[in-house]
Amino acid sequence: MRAEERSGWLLVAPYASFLLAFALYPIAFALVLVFLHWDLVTTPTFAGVDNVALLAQDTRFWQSVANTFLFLAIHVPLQIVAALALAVALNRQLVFRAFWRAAFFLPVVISGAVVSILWSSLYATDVGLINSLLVRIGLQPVPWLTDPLTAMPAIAAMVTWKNVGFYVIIYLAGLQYIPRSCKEAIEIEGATTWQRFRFLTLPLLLPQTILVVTLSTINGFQLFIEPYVMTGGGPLRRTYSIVLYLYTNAFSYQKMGYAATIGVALALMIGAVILVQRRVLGTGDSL
Amino acid sequence: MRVVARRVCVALAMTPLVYGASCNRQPPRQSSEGASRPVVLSLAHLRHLGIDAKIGERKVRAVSLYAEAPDYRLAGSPARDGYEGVASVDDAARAAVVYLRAYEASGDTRDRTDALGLLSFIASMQTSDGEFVNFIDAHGVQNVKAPSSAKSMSYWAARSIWALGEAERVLGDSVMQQAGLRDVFNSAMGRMELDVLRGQLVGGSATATAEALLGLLAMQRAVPNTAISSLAERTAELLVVLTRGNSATAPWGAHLDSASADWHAWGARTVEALATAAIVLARPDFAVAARHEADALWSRYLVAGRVPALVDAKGDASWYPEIAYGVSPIVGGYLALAAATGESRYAAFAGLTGAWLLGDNAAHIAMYNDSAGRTFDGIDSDTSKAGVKVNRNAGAESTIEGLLALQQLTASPEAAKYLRYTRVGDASASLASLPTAREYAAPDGQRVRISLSDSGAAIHALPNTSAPKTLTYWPAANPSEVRLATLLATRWNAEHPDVQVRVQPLPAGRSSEEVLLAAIVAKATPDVSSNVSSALLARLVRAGGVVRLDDRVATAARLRERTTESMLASLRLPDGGIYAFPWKTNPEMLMYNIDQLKAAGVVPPRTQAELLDALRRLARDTNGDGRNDHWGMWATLKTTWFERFYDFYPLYLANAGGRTLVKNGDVLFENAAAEQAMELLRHAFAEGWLPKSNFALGRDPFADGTVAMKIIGPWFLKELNDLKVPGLRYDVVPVPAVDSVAASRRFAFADLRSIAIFSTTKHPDEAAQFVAYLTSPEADRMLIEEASQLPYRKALAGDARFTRSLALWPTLSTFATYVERTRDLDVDPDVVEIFDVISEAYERGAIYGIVPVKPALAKAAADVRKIIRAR
Repeated sequence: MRAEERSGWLLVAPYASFLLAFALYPIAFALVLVFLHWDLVTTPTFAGVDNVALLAQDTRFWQSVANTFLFLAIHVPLQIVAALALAVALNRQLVFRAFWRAAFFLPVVISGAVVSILWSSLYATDVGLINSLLVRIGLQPVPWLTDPLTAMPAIAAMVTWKNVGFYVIIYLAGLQYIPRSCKEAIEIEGATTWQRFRFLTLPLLLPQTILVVTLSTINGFQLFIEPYVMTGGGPLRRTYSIVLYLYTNAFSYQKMGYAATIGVALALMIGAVILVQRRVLGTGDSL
Repeated sequence: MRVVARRVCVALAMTPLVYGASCNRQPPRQSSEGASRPVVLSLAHLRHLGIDAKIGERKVRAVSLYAEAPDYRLAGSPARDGYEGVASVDDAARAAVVYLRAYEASGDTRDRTDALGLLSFIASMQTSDGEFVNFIDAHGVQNVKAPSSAKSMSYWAARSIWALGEAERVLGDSVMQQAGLRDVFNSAMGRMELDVLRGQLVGGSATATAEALLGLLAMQRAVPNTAISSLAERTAELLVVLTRGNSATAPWGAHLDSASADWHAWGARTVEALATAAIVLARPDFAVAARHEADALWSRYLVAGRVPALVDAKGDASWYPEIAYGVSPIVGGYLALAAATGESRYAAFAGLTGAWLLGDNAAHIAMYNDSAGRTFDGIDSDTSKAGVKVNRNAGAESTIEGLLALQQLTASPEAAKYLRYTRVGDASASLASLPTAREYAAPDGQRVRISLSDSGAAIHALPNTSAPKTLTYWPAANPSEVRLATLLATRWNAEHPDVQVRVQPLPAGRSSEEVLLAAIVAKATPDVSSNVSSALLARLVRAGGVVRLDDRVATAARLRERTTESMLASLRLPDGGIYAFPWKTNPEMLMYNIDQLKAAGVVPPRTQAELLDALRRLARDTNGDGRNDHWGMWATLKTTWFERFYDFYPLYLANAGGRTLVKNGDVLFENAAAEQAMELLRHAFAEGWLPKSNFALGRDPFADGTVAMKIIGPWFLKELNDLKVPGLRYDVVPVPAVDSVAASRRFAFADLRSIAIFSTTKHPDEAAQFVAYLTSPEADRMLIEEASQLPYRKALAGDARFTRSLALWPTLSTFATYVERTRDLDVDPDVVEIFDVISEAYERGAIYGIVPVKPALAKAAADVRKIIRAR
């Protein structure tokens, strides 16, 4: 082996071993677990395709899939609109602009559990701030987290609020890169503010939008901590996400084989949805 | 005394098999594996001795006097004793005590039946003036002529009083009244009172008086009343003054019938009676009197290395015969002193004395055979061979006294630890000239030294040459339990330099089950953890992750001391083993705000119909906005599995007559009891009598007055105390059940927490001793006082040792009455998933009412069956 090759292997080794230990090995282990019954403490036994068969007919699993897709349907569009609107606002010449940008980013770095506890109090039916405001303006309080119709939208709104700062950064970066000449040209053409946004800003932010859609979809599929802390999956299992169901099977019921099967199914689902999104939205490379 | 001595002489004269042994011979070493095995109590031989008899028209049970080796055929009194008879009240009364204590521990109805049969015999031997005849012949005819049998107020009368008092304590007053035994007791007590008030000992004997006093004290424990307590006090005072000598002067504090009388080991229960009187009558001075004899005289036996049969007033000892009847009373005396004084050294001395039964005797053989339940009749000197001979017959007295001693010893971890120790070196020949100390050695080589001091004997473990062993102990992470664990470990470490305990609170996690599970996977379990729930136990056992505890000396003894068999029944796994020590229980009750209920004109609900009515009346709109803002109760809408511990599950258990959710793979909850409990909640939710909302995290709606009742366990008392809610007055009642369920069939939910020793430990025996320490009466008192939580301990509410501790917390005594009437989670590997399924049914059927209750429960039952089938 030439010295150059040796150096190459040496340089690659740290990352390769990290990848092997913390990505490839767990993935391979999860794939093996799909065919096993294992409760963590006793010796695993061969399960054949029992876990896959169970998954296919497990109504609780499919309900968690439906719940997760409902969450995505609310969260992803809301995330794009909120992030884009805030980014556009924060891209202007504002007093204390740096402060505002930092303020909107702050929830991103706060622990999900802390945010969930905080929002549980905000959503509380009896003394929650939101309901207090509603009552003050003469409306009836809403059982945000205990009504099957409002629980998942309430969680989606909270997750959107928590993550919006991250996506604002992405959009802000995109806004910085819109050429001044293009802005001047469209202004000279006499375009209104809306037309400038619709026909210049929005198309030029397509790569960022694709990124936001992709990331928020992947993150959305991994919804866990919020329902875990705020609702425990209720009411009527309407906030039971796929990952919460996976966790419950793994660590409450100690059904590691079945949990791994859910995990593999989730990975396949994420892959499929991202593929569809990229087909629909394109990759943004044409811009 | 005369009778006793005769019986021993007869027993030894009948010796058919002689085991020659030198007194100097060193005992055969036992394997340390055998040493860690608890002694098995067997009543088989006592049952073998049982005979049917007919006295007049009354069919009774009695105990044959003798059983002769090698085939242990039954025999009556021989010619040399004038054919006194085939059975006596003397034996029947003590055998009844053995059966009663066995029944108390095991709940085995055979023991109860045998005890009642013997008590019936005793009753039939009573004469109209309250005295008793002792013997019957083979035809059931009373022997009224022999001095050892004639009608009198003597030993057999005293033992009858003892047995009848124990029967009242164990069986209760209604059984006693029904069997006519209470009248028998009253009549005997009346006769005894005549003697005592005249200042006379029963039968002129301290030992007989002591046994009668034990009967009075047992009765006083069961049904306290001033007539019994004043007679008991007067009787104890008669015994107190009998002490002679002191630690320097013979006969060294012995309680003697008269100044010139001998002290004899047989039946020497004065110390036991006085120490017990100190507890029952709250007279510490009686314990001081009991100490005189134990500290000055009995300490000499420990240093001498043997118990004499007799000590005369000058202090000269007669060492033979060695018999169980001479060992058992001293064992009982030491253990009663340990209970009265809290000094564990007395329990250790009981263990060292009781070791006679298992081999620490002149013949170096086990006198008690635990496969047959026999105790040999005795060991006597064999002058012809300058050694000793063993009488391998096993008559009633030896068998009964052996069992009486072992019943107590195996229920005391501190004593049981020393049961297989043997003395080191030759026994002393004189009590007057003794070495300064005596060593005793365990089969595994550990040694203790007993030395004499002014305050009696002291015991010291001899330093081990190896490095101290270390145990890691994980208590629950809440502040009060961490404080309790630290306190106990500090005390333990001071007392056990060879075994040091390191306390590490359970690492943070959502539940201790998940933390312990993670530790098992990572092979990082501690030696001991004290927060194991039944939800985790089945899995731990299946994985071989925990050590069995009922076959280790210390934990087996503590289990006997602390629990009854019925308390353990639901905790036994399919192999019959106990794998986690049931430590604390928190029976849930309905707590209510006294003033809110009073203001609404609501009486504390006793039935579920009353509860529903209370919920209706207590739900109200106080600010006039058209919406209810105060309710009777709050049932959380969360579906996390353990939330059902506070609504559906306790209401179901109250109705279910002891059934739980699943048992042996069968679903038990598809029934009317579950439907009624869930229907109550559905009705209340549907009517708005229960709030359909979750309150803000950290807020307790009971404490702030938003709701007037809550189903909760006693740990909440400490929380309320910490919250210091001004003006809050509360009380508790049992969780209401439907009308048709009798009070005796109502059970409370209690999330039992156990202590487990993990298989990864390198020191299972030391860990077992530590677990026994964590569950000792002293530790239990601290648990109550520090954490307002209840030890899983039999008769807790009526146990005088805990009265003061329970009184520290309002209503805790009421919670304590339910300790033995609880149901826990099922020890099932899928119990969490089963509770999740129940939660789903509860949501659908009760909270949101989208399906009727019955189909919701039927679906849950079907789902649970699927879960069970799938494993």
